Amino acid sequence: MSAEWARKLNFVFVLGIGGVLCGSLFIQFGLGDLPCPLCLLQRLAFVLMTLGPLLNLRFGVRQRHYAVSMLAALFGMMVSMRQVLLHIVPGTGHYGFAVIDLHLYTWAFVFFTVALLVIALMLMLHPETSSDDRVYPQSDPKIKIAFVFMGLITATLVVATFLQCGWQCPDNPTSYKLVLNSLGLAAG
Amino acid sequence: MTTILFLLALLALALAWWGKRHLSIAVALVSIVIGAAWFWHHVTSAIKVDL
Repeated sequence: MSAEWARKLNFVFVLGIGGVLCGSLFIQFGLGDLPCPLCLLQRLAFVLMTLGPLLNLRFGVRQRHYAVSMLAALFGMMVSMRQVLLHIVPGTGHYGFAVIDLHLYTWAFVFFTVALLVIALMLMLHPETSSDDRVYPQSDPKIKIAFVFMGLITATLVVATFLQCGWQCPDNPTSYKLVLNSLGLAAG
Repeated sequence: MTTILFLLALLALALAWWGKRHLSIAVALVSIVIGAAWFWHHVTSAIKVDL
């Protein structure tokens, strides 16, 4: 696969994962479903998974960059599988609502698995002796769009998580802790 | 804790943007390791595990 094609695929990968994170933000703010601590860790894994493709866009495609994304995907799979197992026995309840019969943590596990397969495929198609060691300028449209898109999403996640949890997140969040505290409405 | 992890992720993105490739990877790995450790603590404190 040529370096230019690899960069295009990496760009699409970033947009895809960014889309998933935008969906989770819509569910939080549009539908009022607050994320649990495990959901937040899954979001973190999604963000870190985009770092590999972002580094590929900026510094050329390298195996080391893909490795960062694979580690993040494995971390995300571990967390989402834990949450699936928590609720897998019928009658043990669930967290949040379902989309096409699957809960969001199950969808997260599916996305992490697919992402890991995609990264493995891109690694397989990557030539072993790549000569693409250029540093691409920040003014490159693909780099600018991908970095600004993910930067905005991650900054939103920082603020949303801080408003919801402060420094310590409750197991079953029901409100924005910091907002209630500042208004003097917190229980107890 | 999760807020700090997201801040580290944001820092990793910013470092990649500014051209600090190795530092960006290092910060991302630190974030993954702390996240995994926190997750493991969450698992072992919530249930009695017998490995």
